[in-house]
Amino acid sequence: MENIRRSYPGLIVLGILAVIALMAPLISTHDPVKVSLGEPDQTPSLNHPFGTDYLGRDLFSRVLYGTRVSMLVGISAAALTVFLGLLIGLTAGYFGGIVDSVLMRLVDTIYSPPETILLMVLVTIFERNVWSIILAIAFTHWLSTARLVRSETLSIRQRPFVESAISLGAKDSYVIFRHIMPNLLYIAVVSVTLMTAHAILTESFLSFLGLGIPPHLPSWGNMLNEAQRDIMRGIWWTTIFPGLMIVITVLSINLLGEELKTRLAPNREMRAEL
Amino acid sequence: MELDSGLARYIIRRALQIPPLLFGITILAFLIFYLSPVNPVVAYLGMTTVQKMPAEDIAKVEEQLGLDKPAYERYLLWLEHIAQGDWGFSYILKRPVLDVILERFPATLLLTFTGYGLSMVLGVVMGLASAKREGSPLDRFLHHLNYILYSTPTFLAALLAMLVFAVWLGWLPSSRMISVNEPVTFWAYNLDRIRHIILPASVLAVSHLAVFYTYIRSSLLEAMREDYIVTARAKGLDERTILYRHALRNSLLPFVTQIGLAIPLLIGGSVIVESIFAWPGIGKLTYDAALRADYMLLMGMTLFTSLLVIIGNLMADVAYAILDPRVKYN
Repeated sequence: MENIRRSYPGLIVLGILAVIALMAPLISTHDPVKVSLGEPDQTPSLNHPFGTDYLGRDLFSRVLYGTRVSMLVGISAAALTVFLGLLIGLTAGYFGGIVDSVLMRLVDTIYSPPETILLMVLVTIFERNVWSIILAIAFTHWLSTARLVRSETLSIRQRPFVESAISLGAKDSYVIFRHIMPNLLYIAVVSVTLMTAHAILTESFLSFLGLGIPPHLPSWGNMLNEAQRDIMRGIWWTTIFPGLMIVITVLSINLLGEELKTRLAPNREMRAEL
Repeated sequence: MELDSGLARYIIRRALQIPPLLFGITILAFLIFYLSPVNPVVAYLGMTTVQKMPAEDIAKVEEQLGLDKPAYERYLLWLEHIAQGDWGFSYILKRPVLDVILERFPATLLLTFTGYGLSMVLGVVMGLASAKREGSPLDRFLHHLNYILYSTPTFLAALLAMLVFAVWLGWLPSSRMISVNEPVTFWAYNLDRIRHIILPASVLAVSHLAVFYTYIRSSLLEAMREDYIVTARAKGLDERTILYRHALRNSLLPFVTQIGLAIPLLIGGSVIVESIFAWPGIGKLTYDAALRADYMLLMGMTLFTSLLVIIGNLMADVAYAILDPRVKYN
């Protein structure tokens, strides 16, 4: 336990955030979407620890519920991203030849437009809901994982234990699942962790611009989108609290990711690649 | 400087990778719009215009766009237009897409170069301070600060900067490139412009600082372990000379590729910063286009920014190959 506390400070904070996300209805003091026009723009007080927004909604409760939305989107998008990256990278690296060339040209092509621009195009032209945001994030982020998995697969495929398995007549599926996948597991674990941080940032960025999660859902990005109008009037609490939550969450995930990277990567070169 | 034939061949081979990539990007852009539920006539003219149009006019546009033809013919038709510089019509601005993008581009260049330059200088200074004594309190402090910066979204930094420096302290203007009442004298005019660029450029600089700092720090520390540093020490050179003349020079070389690789991030950053500070560049343009579903403008921006990224990468690779004689061309 002592060991965990020292090595994984990020994990502890994430545990607390997970509890917050799961128990949001129990911890929150008010209904997060209930408008109370009689008490708009209130400074933080005992009744409203984080103050209220321009519609008099309780920010503390909104921030708590926001944890749910942000975590859900972050984790699902990261899982889907890494799954895509593994699938394409493994296929390209294992089968090589024309399959590899085609898939890697596809990666090069999607890599060319800047991620932000491609994301904005995708969320504009397709119908916008939580799932389409997750899909858009996954579509624009799987490329680096695919490249990494491909190059690892290429090198594993040439190792003696894989070559002997193939020469003994093992089926492709056997070689992939028995010999190659286990050696890629650490990439998947580290990538999912770091990608979750990235996906949370991306979601909050899109929502902040008004292009992300539908505005009726209290996500941190949506709250900051509404906070924009408050800034010029010197109202700071609508920005500070959701903003702080994003920084704390992303920071702890990144810390956890770094720790996992140091522990799981087989050598320094791989650590730099991840 | 004489270009040796190996280098020349490398540059040519590298440049030859561009046309297929461009071809791929046009296919990607076309496919996204082809598969989307967007009506091409609406995309071309905008919903408000289409609603007011008589049916026969719509039919005429449909024929012009080749909507009755199969997908590959439509693609080729579109490609022909793109090649001729006809990138479609932005309906929110009622002007040709390419004209608008090229007109807005200099503002983005100005902001990006200022912010990026600031970021590089800060990154090198902080990296040097860290690498001078690895593990010192200063190094640890910068390392932690860097983690926090890396986890802070750019838009949050922008909002906080605006709150503190524009609203609370009132030192700097919070939006636009120049005051509504443009100052007339030369000095007042330029001072006004400088006052307007400080906030957005600083936010852009801070948002890229973490990447630069980490890069410079680790490559400096790596360089300090090299044989030529040991040799320099053995010759009795002082640590300052070793750090600045030997380690820094060699660490800055691979930095060139970093600059090329950062272009997509820079464009992403400019979308956020320009939208928040109402800076009239291509980032703000993209944001406006996305909010009001100006598909042609979005498509144009996809092509334009892809082109920037490809050219940036090529230039970085070539510069690196010229600067570092150890690079093997393969």
